[in-house]
Amino acid sequence: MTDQDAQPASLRFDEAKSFSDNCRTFLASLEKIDADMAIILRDNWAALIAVVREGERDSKARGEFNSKVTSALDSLLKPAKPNGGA
Amino acid sequence: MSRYFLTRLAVEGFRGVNNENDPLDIGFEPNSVNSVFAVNGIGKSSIFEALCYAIHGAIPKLQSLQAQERPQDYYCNRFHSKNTASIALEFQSDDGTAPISIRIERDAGGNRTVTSPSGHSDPEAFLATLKEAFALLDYRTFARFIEESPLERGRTFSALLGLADYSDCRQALQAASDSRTLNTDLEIKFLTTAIGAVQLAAQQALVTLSSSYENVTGKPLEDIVKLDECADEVTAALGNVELLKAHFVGKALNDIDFGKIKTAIKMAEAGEKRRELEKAVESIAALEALVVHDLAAVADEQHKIGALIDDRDKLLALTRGDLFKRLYESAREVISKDAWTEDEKCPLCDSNLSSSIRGHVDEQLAQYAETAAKIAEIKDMWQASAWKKCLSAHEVAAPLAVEPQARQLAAMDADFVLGDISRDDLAAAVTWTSGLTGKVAGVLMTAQGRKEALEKELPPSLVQLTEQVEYGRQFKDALKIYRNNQQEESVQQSRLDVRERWKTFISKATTVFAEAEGALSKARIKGIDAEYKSMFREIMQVGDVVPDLQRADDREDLHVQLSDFHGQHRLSARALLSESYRNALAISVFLAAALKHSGAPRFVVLDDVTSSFDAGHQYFLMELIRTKLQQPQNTDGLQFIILSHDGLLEKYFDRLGGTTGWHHNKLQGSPPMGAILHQAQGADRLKTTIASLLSAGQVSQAEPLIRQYLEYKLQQIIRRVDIPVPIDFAIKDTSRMVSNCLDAITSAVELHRKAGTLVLDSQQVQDIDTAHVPAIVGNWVSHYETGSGSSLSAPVLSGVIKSIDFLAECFRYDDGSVGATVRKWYRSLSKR
Repeated sequence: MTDQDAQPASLRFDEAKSFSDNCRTFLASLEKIDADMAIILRDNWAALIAVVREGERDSKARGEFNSKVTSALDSLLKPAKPNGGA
Repeated sequence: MSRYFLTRLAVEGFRGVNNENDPLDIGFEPNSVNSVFAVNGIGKSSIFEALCYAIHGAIPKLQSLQAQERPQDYYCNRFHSKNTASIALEFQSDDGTAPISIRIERDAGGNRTVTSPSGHSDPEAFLATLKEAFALLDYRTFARFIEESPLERGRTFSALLGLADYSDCRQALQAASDSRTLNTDLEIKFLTTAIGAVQLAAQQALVTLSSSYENVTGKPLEDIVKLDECADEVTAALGNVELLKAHFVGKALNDIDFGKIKTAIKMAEAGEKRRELEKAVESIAALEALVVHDLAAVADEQHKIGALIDDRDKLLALTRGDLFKRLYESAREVISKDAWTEDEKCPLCDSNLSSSIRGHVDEQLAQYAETAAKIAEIKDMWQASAWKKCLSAHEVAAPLAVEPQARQLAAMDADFVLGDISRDDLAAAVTWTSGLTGKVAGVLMTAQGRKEALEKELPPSLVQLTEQVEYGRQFKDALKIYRNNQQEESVQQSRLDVRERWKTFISKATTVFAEAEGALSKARIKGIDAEYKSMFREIMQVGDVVPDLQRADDREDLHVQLSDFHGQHRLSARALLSESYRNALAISVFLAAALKHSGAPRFVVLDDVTSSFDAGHQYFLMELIRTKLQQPQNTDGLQFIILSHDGLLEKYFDRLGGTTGWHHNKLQGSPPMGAILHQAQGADRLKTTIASLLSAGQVSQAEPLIRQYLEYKLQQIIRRVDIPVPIDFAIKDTSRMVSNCLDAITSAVELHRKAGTLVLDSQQVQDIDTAHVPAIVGNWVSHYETGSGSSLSAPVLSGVIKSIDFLAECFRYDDGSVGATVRKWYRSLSKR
């Protein structure tokens, strides 16, 4: 489901939770904005995290992340294969 | 989660620590403040760097060197015969889990290996858990905290608050949602251009469809949605011609072979003029398709590109060419380093400048960047322009007969891409385009005239037949082109739409994350608010200067302000605070954050962090650490390891060393070639090493160790029997430390003797006066401290070692008061 006009959902990170747990909550919250896109971001989360490490921005990693996103977006447009097809 | 105290560090062959086969081995106590004192050049910084390398895998100071300076050659001690380094660390957990020992080695080739003698399954991963911003702190860290821009400070501070991952993630999302890079990475511009091209091609096909349909059926094409019906009508109309019937009956337009039909007509009545008529009809269709290009829009684009070229030329005039650009880039690399401290002084003649060099270089490079952006803007505008499409169509249009070698588009494209297009080039291109577009009407008129003439010359039935067949072919081809382009447009539009959907999504996701991260960061800052303010007050002993950290609402910026400055409010801390106040503020903030942290390291190593403090503020900071921050006094406290070269601070360390809650180490030695040892570790090992060197006749190697041994034993006497030393004792010439110690000891003995309070027996006093002190003075002090060039013989130096041991024994006695006799130090010169 997609609601691109939805305003960004208000989210609070839980101080008691780890960074990974809070990221999971964050990704889950994005499904309200656009479920398909949220799945793409979740699937490529590791590639996104590699874009900035210890404060250093890596433009090659950003390119790789966007390349993965582009492939995922194109896959989204391909019609699903009919069941039982050869 | 287990947290860890650092309990041992052993270093060999690393930086200033040679210690070949005899590592510098320092123990740290989890329940005490651990101080390590060394005068300058004795290897204190090497200890800090060893911890940096062990935990972070690099040393910031070496990382900042340029490649040609070969930083990799300076990790291992340059006098170690194997050119290898080893760092051994031991950690004790705060929850009773097993201790962990880690060994880090660096070989001559710069390869790092990490192992765990205690059997940790992943020692490198364990070290990674210790990479917390507060664990290793030096003076530079604190100074930088205040001097950094609010954004850099905010990011540094995120790490300190344990939010480094959040800050990195926020930045990664910002990078991933940046419109400019997204347009490039997701090929959005390319898709937009591709869609424009297929739309134009479809439009051109539609023009041909309309005219050919009308020519075949005699009525206008009114509804392009019903193109299938139109195709049937075209087939039916052509099938009604007797000569063509056989080719059309029962067939759909797509299945009709117009080439075959034309051959059939040719067979029926061959003739050059009929082929010419066909060609004229083809030309008219091709020329009419060119009409769809909006020449007014093309002229407008040409005007805009001209204006952009003017802007670019103005910007270019402000720059000074490629050589200067390279010079400025190199300069920026140099001045961005911390070593560049005098930004307003000429590096060549040392004269004062009226402005900042950094500002000048940034300004010059910004002009180059602005020029590059303008060139990119010109290129982008050309690539997406209707002009380019219009010129492309005109150059390849067969009726205009532009020879391939005369075509200009490829050369213009290259000029635009390289940014080399000049005003003159533009004018020539405009003229070339206008020439071609202006030619269309004339050529069209000629083709129409020729068609009319041929129609008159040829038999009417055949003329009409030939024309009808040609229009039919045009309709079929145009329909195919139109449909293909429509399909292509649909595909490309879907790709563009889904990318735009991602852009909107990732932008919103970034906003959601940034807001949540900001709120978390603010909560953490609030959590340490009272703590750092209280620490600052305690270190600086002030109540009317109150710092305040303010995190921006929509950015990572962290502002340092003074909420109160002697009654005035909300002022800049950077502008008003002196260096010591600024450092006290940074220390307070770092330590308050460290106390709240729950990461793996439960230790803080402070390297010379009090350099800007006077004795009073040093004292207040040390007391704060000792009484309030060190565990277990503070149950949530940390283990502190303080490295210092400060002579005044050493007095404080000496006073507290050995008391409950304070563990002191003093380093001595002769780095980088000789060994470094700490006093507690060193005496027996030193004595053994000296004996072995002297017995081998290696006098010159033994001499620095003898001096270390003498200093250790004399200072041991001073500490044990509580001999007072002058206030400047620790900061006097260290090369005369042996005579300074002897002076303090003999003066104190003399004082007590004259006062009648000396507890030493008469034989001990006589031995001190007549044997041991004269032997040490005669065979060491008067020889080595006066800079005599030659060495004494090995037997004489062995005698010095014996004398110092005998001298120390003069301050001890046999205590038989509680059972077996025990050899003890006098409590003082006047008390047993």
